[in-house]
Amino acid sequence: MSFDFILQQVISGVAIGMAYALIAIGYSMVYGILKFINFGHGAVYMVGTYVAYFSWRYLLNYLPLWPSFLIAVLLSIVGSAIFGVLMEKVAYKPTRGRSRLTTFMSSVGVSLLVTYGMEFLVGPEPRPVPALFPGMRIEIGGAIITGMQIFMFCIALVMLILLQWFVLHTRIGKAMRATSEDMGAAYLMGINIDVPISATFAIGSGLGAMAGILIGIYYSAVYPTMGWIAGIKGFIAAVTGGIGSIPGAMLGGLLLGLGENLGAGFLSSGYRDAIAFTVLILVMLFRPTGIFAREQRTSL
Amino acid sequence: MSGKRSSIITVVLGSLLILGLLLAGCGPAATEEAPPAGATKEVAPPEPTEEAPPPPEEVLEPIKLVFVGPLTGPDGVDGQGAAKAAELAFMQADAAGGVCGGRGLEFQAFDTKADPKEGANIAALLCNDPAVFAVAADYNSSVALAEAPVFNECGLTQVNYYAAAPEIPLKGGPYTFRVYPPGENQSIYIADWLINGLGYTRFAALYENTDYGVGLYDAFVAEVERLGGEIVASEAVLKDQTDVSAIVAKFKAEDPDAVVGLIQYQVGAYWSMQARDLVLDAPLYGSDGLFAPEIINLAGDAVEGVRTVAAYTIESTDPVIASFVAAFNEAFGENPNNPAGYAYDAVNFIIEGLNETNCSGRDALRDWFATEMVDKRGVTGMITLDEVGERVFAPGMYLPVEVRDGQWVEVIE
Repeated sequence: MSFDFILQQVISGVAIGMAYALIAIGYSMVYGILKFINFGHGAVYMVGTYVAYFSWRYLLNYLPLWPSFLIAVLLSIVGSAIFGVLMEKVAYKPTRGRSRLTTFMSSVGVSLLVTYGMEFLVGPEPRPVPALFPGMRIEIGGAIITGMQIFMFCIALVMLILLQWFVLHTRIGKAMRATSEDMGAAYLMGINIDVPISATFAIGSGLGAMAGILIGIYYSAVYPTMGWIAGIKGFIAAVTGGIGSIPGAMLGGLLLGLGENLGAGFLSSGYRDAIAFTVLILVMLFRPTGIFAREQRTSL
Repeated sequence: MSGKRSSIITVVLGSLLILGLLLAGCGPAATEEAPPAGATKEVAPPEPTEEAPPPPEEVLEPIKLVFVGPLTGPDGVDGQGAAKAAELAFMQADAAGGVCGGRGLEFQAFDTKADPKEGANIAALLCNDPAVFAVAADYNSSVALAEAPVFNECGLTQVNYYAAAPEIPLKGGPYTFRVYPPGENQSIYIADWLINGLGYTRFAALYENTDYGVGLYDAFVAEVERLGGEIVASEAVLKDQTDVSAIVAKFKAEDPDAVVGLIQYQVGAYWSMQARDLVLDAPLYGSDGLFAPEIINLAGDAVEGVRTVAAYTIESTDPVIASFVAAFNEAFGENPNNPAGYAYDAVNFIIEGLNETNCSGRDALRDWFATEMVDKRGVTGMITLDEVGERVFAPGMYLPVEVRDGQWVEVIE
């Protein structure tokens, strides 16, 4: 295996890993506050991507590439945030206070309902997505970085940094941290816990939609079942990094992306998803609280 | 600390377990057509197939022409094209007054979702329906092989229209036939084209990890070795894989003369786009799974120059093909895809067999397929089935095609 080949796999792994990190945030933050794994997140990711896809396609008739893209992204993030909050209000809030298993089952139901509902509405076929950087690439030795990979990395990084700042330095971020620390105590301190919970779903869903848009453009493919495997990858990234931690989600996403791409390169591409699950099992066995395990959970 | 650890483990593993159970449980239950679980067993006692049709005075129940294939899921687009062609064959026969001197016809299409379990369930359901004499099934090799034992058990003729894995009629049994040429012929044809026709010697092979892909791959490797070529790299892909960049990088390092893809059009589209991004210049040659208009919609310019083989092109001036394409357009407002031609042939031969045997029973129809299918002209060429029900290779069965200016056209060299 040549150096170029390894470098190429690292580049691909880092780019896709950052997108996994954005998905992971959605799992991580919800788990941090409500202590359950929201399997509906993959569906939100898919819905967000379709919202962007259809609005972008429509806007392209009137506007140039970039303005239409930016508006479509905005619509999608806002739309997904609303969708995520509604999902919580309709499917999860009524189960609050009951067994977490009930909430979890409800989230699996949401995921199946939304995925197959979308398949019914728009059909099963994959749809192509316009390219943002057609033909743009940088060569480093024999390896290639595409414009889309750089874009994906930068957008994800900026969003993660903004999120970390938001959680640490704003009022609502503080409320979110307090609720995640101890929901009962936060309530007694006068925090209306519905607000930080809704904020968590809104932010997680918005970032999930952004990840879906980036991955949709990266592979030029949008299809109703895209949320399944992406959701599981995001979940693995969240667990790997240490569920509840933002830097952890980023590290987990990067590790997963690198592991997958190097594994696919050295073993076989057919093992790609198997590698992701192997990572999950190893983490669960040897470091069940994740790599960024903390004695106390201070951030989300 | 340890309390927190173990509770996280419990939640995570418990959640995964439940999810797994749910997924396993949900698959079959989601179909509309799924028969009760016991259906397979009820079929077991061999039905007396000669049970003569009711006395001629009564109005006879219409005969059902049945299409089984993937109508949703990753193969849904392809399968629906085939289902429409099957329906077209029915519509034409129905308009011409039915079969066997005025007996009515009905058409039914069943969705397997490309899932072998679904296929076996549908097969059991059809076995119990006395109005069904033969079935056009299936599109997917894995599904066809799961259905075959059920059809053979109850003496229902199974006509495969797009299942490519080697030896399907032989493995399937005496009631299993195939109007689609065995996939290995394609591999042999492509290997010959690349080595003898174009003088290439070094190949990288990409194959779908299914009965279809593996069957074609094995045949391709054998033929390349026989002709003195070399496989410098090979990789399996999943049917719904979107990221093939690791394979592109791996193949690029080996610098092959051509990449051979024994895959379907989705993977072909993602391959072409990622190969363009990573500047892999070797051309893509592939099996007929690539031959779909959708590959051009998905990958645009990236698939320019992709080559494969087809049964026919929609521009063909051959009268049989041209009238099929025109009728299909008139009925559905679109062009037929590659599987459509085979499905149309399959249903048309079932209709011809019914007429020739005067609808006298399932076994008579099977015997007709076993003995009379010689030099029959279909949309997909001259069709002869051999003693095991396999389509015999004939020159001109494949037409080399490529994407040029955003269209599938015949290769001119």
